[in-house]
Amino acid sequence: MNTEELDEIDLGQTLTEPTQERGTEESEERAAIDPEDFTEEPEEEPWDDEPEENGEPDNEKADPKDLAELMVLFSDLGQTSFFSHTFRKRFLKRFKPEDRKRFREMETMDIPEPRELEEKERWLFQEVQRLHRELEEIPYTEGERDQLSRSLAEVIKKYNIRLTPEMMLLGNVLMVFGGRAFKMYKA
Amino acid sequence: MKNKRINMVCLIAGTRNTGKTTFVREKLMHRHPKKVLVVDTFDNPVWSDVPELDASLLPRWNRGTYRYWSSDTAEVMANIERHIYNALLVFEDATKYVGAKLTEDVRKFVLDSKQKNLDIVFIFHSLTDIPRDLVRISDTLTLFKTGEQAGNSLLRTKYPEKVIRAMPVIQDSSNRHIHKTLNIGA
Repeated sequence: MNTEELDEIDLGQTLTEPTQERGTEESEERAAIDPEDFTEEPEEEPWDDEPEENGEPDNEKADPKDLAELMVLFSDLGQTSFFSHTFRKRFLKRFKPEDRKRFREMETMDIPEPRELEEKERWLFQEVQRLHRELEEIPYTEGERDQLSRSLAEVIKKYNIRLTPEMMLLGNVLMVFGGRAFKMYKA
Repeated sequence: MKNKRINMVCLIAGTRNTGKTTFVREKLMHRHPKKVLVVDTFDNPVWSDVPELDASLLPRWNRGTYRYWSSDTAEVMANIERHIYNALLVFEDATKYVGAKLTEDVRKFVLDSKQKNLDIVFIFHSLTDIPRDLVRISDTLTLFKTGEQAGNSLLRTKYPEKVIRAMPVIQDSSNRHIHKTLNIGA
């Protein structure tokens, strides 16, 4: 995986670039702290500008989005479990029983040099890798999750569905256990 | 005239001894102009070479690199909000300041940072420790080894896809100090 794919940046370089100075004008002219000189200075002027907010209390606007994300996560867990299982089953059906057995064995093996395998084994190894690649693409992508969460949040807002802390806890607990249960099922 | 960059909110996540402090010292602090303040809750020996700044001097600090520590995190935040402008702030072990969920005070402080010309660096020990709301309003994430798995469902909903993709690359590397800085801003 290369740097471009991850959108990696040089933070140190970015921080060397100048920013717009703020605060009182005299701060430009002050010298570094002199331990001998602690005379009183005028207080900084408070800033009048408010951060970008729409005036809605934070807990009210956060709830629909959190609930939507949780629900999308649930549906992702469900669809990933279902389609992974189904896809895997159909994929393995194509093999003869002895190949299927070997396929399962190869899934658990660490093969550092696949080129050294015999032709049939190498083909099976490539199929193992192909299956894993396909399975990795089943969970929602970030874009799909965002899109679903946004639409769902609108629906939640429209019907004024509220999220209590208990529901949130239950959801998170189920999600954590669900993820582990699915992993055990796959093992 | 060259455009000035906007201020940044940066997250750093990594478990112990992965090089977070070295990264901050070498890549960020030494290259940041003028003012750097390391904020901590105790007299951390890791930063013992950085001179301390007493709270009473904060209003008059206008140059140099200092550290400011106090176990009273509320007081620390109040003093910083009141007195600090035009600086790079490094919050060591930021969990103590931001908590599991971002409080309204800290959220406002972060959103105000651009108006005060503050670059802010929050250091965490894991991706799980970083509140979801803070991820949403941050610009970059520098990821070190955290020992967390990319398959973790909670992380997958909290972080952009590129962070999840970077996790195994970092986790599987034999280099203990490997890290990647990713742009996670909107």
